[in-house]
Amino acid sequence: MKEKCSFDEIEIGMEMGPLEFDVSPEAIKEYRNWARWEVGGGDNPANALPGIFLINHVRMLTTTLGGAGSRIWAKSQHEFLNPIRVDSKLVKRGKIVEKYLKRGKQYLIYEIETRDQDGRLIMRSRETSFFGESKEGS
Amino acid sequence: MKADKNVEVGWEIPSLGKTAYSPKVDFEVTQIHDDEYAKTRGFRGDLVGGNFLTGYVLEMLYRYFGDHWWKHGRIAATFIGGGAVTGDELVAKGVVTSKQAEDSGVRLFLDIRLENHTTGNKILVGTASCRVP
Repeated sequence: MKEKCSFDEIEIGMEMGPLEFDVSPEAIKEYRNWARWEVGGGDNPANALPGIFLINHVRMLTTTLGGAGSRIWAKSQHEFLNPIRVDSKLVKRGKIVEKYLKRGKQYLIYEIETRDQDGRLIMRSRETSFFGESKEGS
Repeated sequence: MKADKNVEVGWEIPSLGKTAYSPKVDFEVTQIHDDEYAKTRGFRGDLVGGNFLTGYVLEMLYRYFGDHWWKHGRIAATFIGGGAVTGDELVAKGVVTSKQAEDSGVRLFLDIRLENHTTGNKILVGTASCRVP
């Protein structure tokens, strides 16, 4: 994990990632357990689950910002554009697009694109979070 | 029950009940997801991550829209109401608010929410939409 940086040091346009993920049956099983996802959903068994790897948006922040990536989620937007296929590989890239202070809280807005190994755009995400105290005491 | 473009505005899609769960992951650094720390800040325990709260609502939407969701699904969620801790009983709900012709189908627009029946609070509110043929 990167050393923590202060809110002032976070620059608009700062890039996050890339982070790669294998959409393995094991990863799907792990997410299904985490999210307590029950049987059901789409009809195509070749597709994974829509919420899988959203937790890695947190990982992208912490990898980029260290302790300053310690966030509490405020808003979350996602546009789904293509299925996440089982046994595919995903690449997430993002950047910080806005930061502001509101009621004493330090907010960040960041956008993330998820593509598969062929470059196909899978989803676009826009996340808003505010700073939460980290385990490193930042 | 699958999505139907002829559904009436005001209709509530099938809700989804869920018992909240906060898994431990090795890259989590936010203290609010640490049980002891969260209690020192007045919470009942470590808060379930927003991505999982979104995931609960996504499961409801995916159950209704099926594989249409993969290419035409959109969700915008705001987290409010103190969140949830492991063991809380949650219910995801969605109501059709409008419809709009789009390409060869109809896009259904919904208000969505996630209710925490343990605390009595709404903990996620927002909108979602999906095109159905």
